[in-house]
Amino acid sequence: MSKTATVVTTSSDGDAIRTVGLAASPATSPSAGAPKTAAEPASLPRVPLNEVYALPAPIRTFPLPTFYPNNPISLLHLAYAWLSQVFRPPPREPSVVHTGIWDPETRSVHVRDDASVRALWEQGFYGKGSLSRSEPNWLKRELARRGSPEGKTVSEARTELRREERRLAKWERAKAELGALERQRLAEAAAHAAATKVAEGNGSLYEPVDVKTSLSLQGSVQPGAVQHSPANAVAESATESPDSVGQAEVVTTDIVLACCPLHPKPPVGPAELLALPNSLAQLNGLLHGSRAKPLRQERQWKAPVGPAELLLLPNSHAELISKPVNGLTMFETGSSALGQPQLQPYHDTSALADCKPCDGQLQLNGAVNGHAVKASPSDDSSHQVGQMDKVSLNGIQPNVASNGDVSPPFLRSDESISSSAQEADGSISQPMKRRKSVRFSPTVQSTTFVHSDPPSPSRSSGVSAKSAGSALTNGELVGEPDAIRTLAAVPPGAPESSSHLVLNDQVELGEIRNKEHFQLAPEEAFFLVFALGALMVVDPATSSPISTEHLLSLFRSYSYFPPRPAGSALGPDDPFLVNYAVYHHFRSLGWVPRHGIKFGVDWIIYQRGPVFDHSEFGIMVVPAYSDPAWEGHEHEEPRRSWSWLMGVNRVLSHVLKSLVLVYVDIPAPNVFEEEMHRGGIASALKRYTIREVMVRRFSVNRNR
Amino acid sequence: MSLDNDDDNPSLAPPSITTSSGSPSHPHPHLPTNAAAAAAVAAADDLTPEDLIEDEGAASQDFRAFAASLSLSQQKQQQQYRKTPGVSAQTIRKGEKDFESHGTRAQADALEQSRGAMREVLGYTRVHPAPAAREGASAARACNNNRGWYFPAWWEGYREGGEVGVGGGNVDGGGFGVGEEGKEGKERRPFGFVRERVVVLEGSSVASQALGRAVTGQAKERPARGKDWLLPEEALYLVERGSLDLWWPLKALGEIFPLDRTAAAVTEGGEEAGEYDLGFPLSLQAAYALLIGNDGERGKISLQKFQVYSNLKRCGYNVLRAPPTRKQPTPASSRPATTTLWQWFGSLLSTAPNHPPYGPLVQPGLYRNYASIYRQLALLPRHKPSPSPSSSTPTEPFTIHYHIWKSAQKWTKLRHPPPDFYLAVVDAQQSSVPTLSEIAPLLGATPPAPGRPEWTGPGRLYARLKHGYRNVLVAVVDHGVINYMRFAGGGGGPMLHKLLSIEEAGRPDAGAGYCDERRNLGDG
Repeated sequence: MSKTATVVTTSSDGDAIRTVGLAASPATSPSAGAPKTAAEPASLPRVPLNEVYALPAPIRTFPLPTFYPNNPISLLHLAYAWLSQVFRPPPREPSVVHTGIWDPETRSVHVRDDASVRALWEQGFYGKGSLSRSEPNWLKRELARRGSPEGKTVSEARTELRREERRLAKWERAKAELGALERQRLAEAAAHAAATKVAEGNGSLYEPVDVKTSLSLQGSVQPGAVQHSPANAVAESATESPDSVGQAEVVTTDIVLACCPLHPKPPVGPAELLALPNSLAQLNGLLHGSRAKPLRQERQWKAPVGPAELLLLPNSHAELISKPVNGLTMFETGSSALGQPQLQPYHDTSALADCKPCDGQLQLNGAVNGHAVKASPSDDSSHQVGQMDKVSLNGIQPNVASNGDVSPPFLRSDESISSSAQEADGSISQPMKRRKSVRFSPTVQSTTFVHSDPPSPSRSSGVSAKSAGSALTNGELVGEPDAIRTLAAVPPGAPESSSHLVLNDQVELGEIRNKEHFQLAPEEAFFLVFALGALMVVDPATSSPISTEHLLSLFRSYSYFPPRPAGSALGPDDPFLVNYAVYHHFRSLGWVPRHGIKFGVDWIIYQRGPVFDHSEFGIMVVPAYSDPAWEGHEHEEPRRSWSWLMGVNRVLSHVLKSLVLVYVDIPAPNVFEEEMHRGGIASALKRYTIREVMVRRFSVNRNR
Repeated sequence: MSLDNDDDNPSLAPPSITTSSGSPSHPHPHLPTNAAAAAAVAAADDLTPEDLIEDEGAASQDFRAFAASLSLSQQKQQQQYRKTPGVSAQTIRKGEKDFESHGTRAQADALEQSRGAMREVLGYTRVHPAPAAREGASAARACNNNRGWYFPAWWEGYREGGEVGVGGGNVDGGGFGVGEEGKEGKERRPFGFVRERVVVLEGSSVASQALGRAVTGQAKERPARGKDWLLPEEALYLVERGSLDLWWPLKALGEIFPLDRTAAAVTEGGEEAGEYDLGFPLSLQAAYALLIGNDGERGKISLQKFQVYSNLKRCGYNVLRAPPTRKQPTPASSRPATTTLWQWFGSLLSTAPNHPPYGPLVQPGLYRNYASIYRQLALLPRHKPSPSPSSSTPTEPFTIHYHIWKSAQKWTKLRHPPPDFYLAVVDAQQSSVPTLSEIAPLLGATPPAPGRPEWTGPGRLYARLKHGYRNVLVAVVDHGVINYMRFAGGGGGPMLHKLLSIEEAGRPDAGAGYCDERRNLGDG
């Protein structure tokens, strides 16, 4: 039940040992969230959602207490409440008028004040956090990522957890299927052998493959990770790396090339099947490696090694480059270009885990530099520092890039750790699935790099923070070798190891600046201003309030692209007006409309709000020009093809929503203008009529 | 294999053979004698295992399961196909597809077995039974009445009962002045599309239980009196499934259907010599050419409508052409709005909120509940569904073309309950998503069909809203591929929210859980 992959490195002098606990292996821990929940401190008492989101609108109501005729005291209560409200009236609602800043570039209204942000979100679900899915919780997520007990229950984190579980379940299922296939194949081979008594040689395909052969096979199939190194001291020293690990093969380049068969056996075991490449790049790498073209393979290996590629990857940090790293070039710019291919001896440790044949291999590839330089934790401890693994390298680069995909690096025994630590100096542990390879030129001393950097797309920092606890992912442990032994002997995933590692990331939690702002769509902002009076929109340049009339024309002109200049003709069928009519209609009916672009529709409507329930309806707005006075005016009738409707319907039914076509009958321009002169937008909106039509696919096979 | 041993496997033979030419080797346990049983056979016959396979489209098919289910159900009674437990879509397609061989022998064996079963199923010799029956004895000949004659111009001058008031029957073409007879002594019957009927059936077969129409109220001396006349889609549907021989007449209708019975017997006896004296049979292509046309052509039907009709019939529905919508006089619905005294008081109390031109609509102040706030927010007029049909008439192609009944009920072509569905057929290429002026009259042409009464509570809001107040089906045909869409409008008014529907029910600010909490919060 080893859960945590632990990569232990030693320096050349052997006293300073850094251990980086990695995320729990998804292969071995079906419940990735278990360590987190175990290590989670008692958080604040949770406020029920019904209390947080008690108000459906940013207006409070003051209902009078109920009068019970059989209870005369209640009359006193009623009278008291009424009198107190008469003599000491509460503030007129809406008592708080929030302030938003119109942002013409993003065509939205920004809200910066934290109290306003919370109020607008909690009282009617207006707006969206600019860095969040909907609820503005970037700060919480960031805190959770740094190990703070707060904010672990944000919806994004829960989604990640769910996805992780689903992925694990699929992985387990695939493993079980492969196992069943393998058993079937073995049984058939056994039956075949018993029946025909043929020599074992011809039945090689159906031959039961034992672990040893699979290991050797694996070693020969996957020499892609092994890269030829010119004869330098690095290679020599690495060549000496002994087999004290026992079963693990440390194969130098020459050995690999020698033993690499020209006709490799097909991978038939479950471990080999799972270890097969998943991407074309990996496949290419493997193929070229097995063809023993190591020098060319250096170029064809498409791992993102340059700084530009790394920066393009998710979760990489620009500060990493700008930080002085003591001459270490984190990225492989020089090394491959200089024709100094690195030796990456290949450690196969899967023999250690015969019970879990698929648990990944620890590949050690590395370069040796004789200098032991510790990476200094940089002083400008911005928030980046907290999330980095500060790994001091003494010729050994533990690959902290935990591959979230299949098999993380994985060491299981003390002697493997110690042997690799003491003898395989110059080896970089590299997991199988990583996309980024970190190599060092001989002059490089040390580096630090961000733990969340490995750009495996299926993995984000949220996952790592969850899967093994923040301490495991972010922590850095400096200890003695025996401490390492104990740590490595501990079944990973046990809370003890995490408690060891919860050291240094409680730093600077207080000084995180909220980099997220809150943005209101024009329809939402106008509803808050015009209907509720709970918002005031100010001009970004002058900070002076924009009047409602001007705001309307602003929104209307900005609903075109490019925005129509002020004073140009705006019709009653502006996209803003049509959409606002729909928005206002559903808001006034009590629904919570939100933008539905994520589902391919114009709006989705919730019964209470996204916190409480899934939305049941997706809304497509269809303008209609049924007034005969429209004949004389220029307008384009919306002709939507049937395939458009089927596509929208398919997408929506896939997310278990039903489609509503909302026809907005637009008044003729002269009628609209007349109403605008007479009673403003309030009376003009009364001329829009709205008709909802539910659309559903009808299956003739299910209705007879 | 048991597929081969008899002819009256209902999945492979037309229904007329099943009922009339019971082969002695396989006697029916329940030979249908009366019309109801025959209709039951015909209805059950529409749902064969082949249809079950077909209905899920591109689903993977396990032919072994299919063949096994066929042989299983062969031993049972053919009438109970629907209740046969072995045959269902689930048994036919199951399991995951293997996309590549994984080297086990079990997989190869399964594949080979499935292939063998497929070859066996496909290798069944299909025999068209009609010619063999006709060449046989005259007894078999007498039983086999599924011959139809194509007389396109016979009813050209006919006037329907609904429109006889327009003018007298003008007698022209092949018509024999039936308009006048149609007027007198006519009972109220559904609109018959008599003018569109072009194929006359010889005798009455099982198919005529559900299809065709005998035009009543004609003079005694009219030839082919009491015979069933088929609409083009009905005739083509029968031809396509092998239940009808469509013949092109060489003689007039009066000679083919002589008036007196004795003469008929004589001709039948004499027909042995010259079988093709009266006419000659038509191929399927000829039937398509004669019966498929453009919209509006008399005696023809558009290809899209025929495809929809045929699909629905094969799926087991009962389908009839919808009678044309008539301009009915709008009922005097504009009766003076009688306001009761209470309503008058109520109108005094709840004055319409006076909205300032540029808001805020909600006046700053003290509010006791949210109902008053939402009342001030309501600007846009709500659409109120009314039970009376809308005044505007639907426009093509968004008109109701077919009435559809589910197959599970007692149904004859003349006596049936109101339709279960109303269907419009549109071409996906020629039309687009209906605009408001198209969908609103189409919905208005259907009768109000509110949901079930148990949906009235607040808990069934979604079901009520999704069902709608009126609904209509639109079959979108794209080059023969049919997609049925259901449009439903106005579920009890606008999409009323739970909160508001409760409030309108007279219990303001109650029911929903968070209202109570809100009240507590307001107190505190």
